[in-house]
Amino acid sequence: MAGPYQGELQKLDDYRWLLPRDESLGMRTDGIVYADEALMADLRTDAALGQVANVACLPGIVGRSMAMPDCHYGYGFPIGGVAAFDVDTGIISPGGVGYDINCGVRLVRSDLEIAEVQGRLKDIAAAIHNLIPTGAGEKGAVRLSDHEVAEVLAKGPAWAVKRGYGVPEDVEHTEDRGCLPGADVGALSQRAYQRGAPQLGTLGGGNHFLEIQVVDAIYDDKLAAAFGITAPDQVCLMIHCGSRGLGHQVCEDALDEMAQAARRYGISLPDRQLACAPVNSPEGQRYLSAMAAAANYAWANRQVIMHFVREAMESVLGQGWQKLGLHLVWDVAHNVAKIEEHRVGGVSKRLCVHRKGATRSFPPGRPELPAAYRETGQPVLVPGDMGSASYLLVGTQQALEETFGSTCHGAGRVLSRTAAIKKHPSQAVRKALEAQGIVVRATGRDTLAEEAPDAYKDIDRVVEVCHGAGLSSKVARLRPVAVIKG
Amino acid sequence: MSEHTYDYVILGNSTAAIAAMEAIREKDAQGSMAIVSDQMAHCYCSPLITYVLCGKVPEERLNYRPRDVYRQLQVTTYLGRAATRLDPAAHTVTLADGVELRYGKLLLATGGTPIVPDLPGVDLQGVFTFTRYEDMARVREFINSHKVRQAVVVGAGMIGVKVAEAFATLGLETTVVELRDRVLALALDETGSEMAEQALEDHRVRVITSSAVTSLGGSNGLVQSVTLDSGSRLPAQVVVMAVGVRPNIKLAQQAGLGVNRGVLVDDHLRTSDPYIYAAGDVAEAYDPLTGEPRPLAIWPAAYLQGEIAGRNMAGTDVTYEGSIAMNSIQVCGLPTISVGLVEPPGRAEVLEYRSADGKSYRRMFLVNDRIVGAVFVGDVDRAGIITGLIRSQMDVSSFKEKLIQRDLGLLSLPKQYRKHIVMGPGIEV
Repeated sequence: MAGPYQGELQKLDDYRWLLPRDESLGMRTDGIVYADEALMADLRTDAALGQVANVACLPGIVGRSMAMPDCHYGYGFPIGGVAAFDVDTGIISPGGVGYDINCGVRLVRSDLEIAEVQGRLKDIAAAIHNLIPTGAGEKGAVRLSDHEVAEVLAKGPAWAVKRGYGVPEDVEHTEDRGCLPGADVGALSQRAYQRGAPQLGTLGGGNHFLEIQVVDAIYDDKLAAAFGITAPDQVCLMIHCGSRGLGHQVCEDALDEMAQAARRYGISLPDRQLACAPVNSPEGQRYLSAMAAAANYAWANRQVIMHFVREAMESVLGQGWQKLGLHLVWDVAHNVAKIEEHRVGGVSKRLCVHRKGATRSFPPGRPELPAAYRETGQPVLVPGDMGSASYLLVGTQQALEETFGSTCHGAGRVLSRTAAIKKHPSQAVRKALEAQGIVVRATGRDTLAEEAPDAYKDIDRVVEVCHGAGLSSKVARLRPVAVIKG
Repeated sequence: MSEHTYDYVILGNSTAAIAAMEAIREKDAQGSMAIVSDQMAHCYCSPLITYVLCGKVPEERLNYRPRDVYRQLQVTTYLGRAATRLDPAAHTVTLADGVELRYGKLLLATGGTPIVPDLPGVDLQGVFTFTRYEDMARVREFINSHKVRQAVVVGAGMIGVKVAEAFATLGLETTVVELRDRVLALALDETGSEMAEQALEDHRVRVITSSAVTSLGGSNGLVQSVTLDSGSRLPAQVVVMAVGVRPNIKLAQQAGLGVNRGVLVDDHLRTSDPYIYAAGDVAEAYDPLTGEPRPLAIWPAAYLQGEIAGRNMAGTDVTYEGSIAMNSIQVCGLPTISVGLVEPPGRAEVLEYRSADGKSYRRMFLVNDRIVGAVFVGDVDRAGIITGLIRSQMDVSSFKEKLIQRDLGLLSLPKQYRKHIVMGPGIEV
């Protein structure tokens, strides 16, 4: 890992820090970091700021190279990084999307109050854990033929709904209807295919989780109601996972190809991990197709998982999911690159917007939003780290104008996984969670330690910065009452 | 919308397209290449889909190339996105989602579309065509989710016969209706057709020939029956229309390329535009046995045309000598093969053999001591040798009497010809 950033850093206001364009470094534009003093204190010792400057060197970048308040060091691009590139002159980079393509979050609301299910939480968590395999290499209950895999990749959750895993409303309440265009089974390697086909309907390991949560605070009654959140103590479910081995393999395959492509197209890279190709080149198109396939797979995966969560709730509570009001509020992708239209200097431009550990945050009126949210703006879901609070926010005009419609994605690591394991035995973490009254079910030996709450930044602070900077507005806060992990 | 540039763009993802892709890459390791198809699946072997329907062949067997064949050959795929417009002057092809591809050379390998006759009731649910995986999947899904006991297949050509066999294997009470007076009329001669018909009936497929379908009847939007011109009504909860395939020439036609029934090509498989080639079911290429151009919707021809078109596109000069019609089909366990002409031209000499038990039959037509057509039913072991003799148009007068014997082997052939087979063409002695 490179050392801390040595370049210039100007504080613009309480939430914004500028990395002025330094041509000697090859920067084509400024960098900007959203953070308060305390978060910046952590960032000063992290190599992530240097990565913000590196991204500013890439060809065709439009606007600034940006970092959200949960920013930390990642592969090539910082996690929490946002960068947009002109589709005709700019690049696409697998490092700007990340290994877990379309890692994302979905929030399911219910008509239940916590008092009604408090005594059943252990049973519900067990039932969910039974239906949804967790942990790194696990296989799912869904068996797919080759042609079905092609359909999952091309269509995402619409395939799942056709197969009976959900209802059309679920697809409507998924970012981009869970289907990026141009997804293509032909762009996948044999290995990506083999890893992906058996894993649909599994949660995976790492920071992925499934939580039963309860509404803890509502900041905007009207918006909350529009999103289906009406009362404190209301029970919700949050699913946080991605494209499993398939997405990981797509990234790995693309990095090899992109390193060659960058040389072929004469793109000079400040860091080899920024390997990339012009968006419109054959290599760029192949990655875009494979990435879209992985993204759609991830959306289908969260859809299938939600279906099993509904089944688990039905079996424990003895009522149909509709009766329990288990509707999907929204599903966001927070590791993805998308072709979007944005106004730049008064002109509408097609951009390839990379959001790596960042969430789309669109205001009311954007055509991408479904009818139900066209007037409210897009729900934004920010999962806390294990055991801490999560947030429901809403997208803003400010974000659209300043960050191509992007905000934070979570808490953001401050301790590496190994450092966290050293610091906490898993048993202690489990005890601490249980002491807070949180039911815990985890598969892996070290998962709990890796994900210990103090391995992360303070989620409240991260969300507060985004709120203060106007990148998203707070709607509700949720706290976990049961955690299911890999 | 974005424009992507490729040295080669192939429209289609079936036999001819895959053969061309591989031939181009063999010759040109660097050139950029894209494949476009309205089907979202990886390339697969469509002749096997009826076997997948009835569970005889597992679905994985449909793949005839590794899953990452495109990546290995550095080909960018645009699967599930139909080409909607071709502009030969601008060298561009536009896809359904608006993306524009600019090509150096283009191959049309877009195949054919099944013909759906304009009959009353043809829009009812439960009426299908059957040429693609998606058709098979839809039929399978329909049979599984509806009460289907009886099936009617309209058309007793290659596809119709295989679909009927699959339905019967699934336990459906199946009838196949054919307009002509016999089944597989384009692939077999009369005796061959009779034997095939018997095999179908032994498999509990009812065969009705010399009959036209006049309408389909249904209730609640679901098909219930098929009415014939004789007035009889066949109950059916699923119907497959298998009356033929029409080359997909619309794109070529709109682009102003020369077309007849298919897209016209010269002996390099080039269309009327020097940068555009055509191969496979969409093309109308020269048939050496009739001396006429005609579309030849069979696998080996598609493969050969694709390969030759690909080599020409990549800059090698290869002439297409034409393909000989060749059909190989198992009818309910009865193997049949026909090569070349299945009906003898007027002045032909006919050789015929039928085994005592009636189970094996072979027949050949010779013109000027050269074989121009052959039919094998039941025992097809030596068909390869005869195919070679047809292709090479060899004078067979010296061993004519051996041709229809069961024990015909390479040793029966003159020495020079054996040498020709072993060493390949061009080393004639």
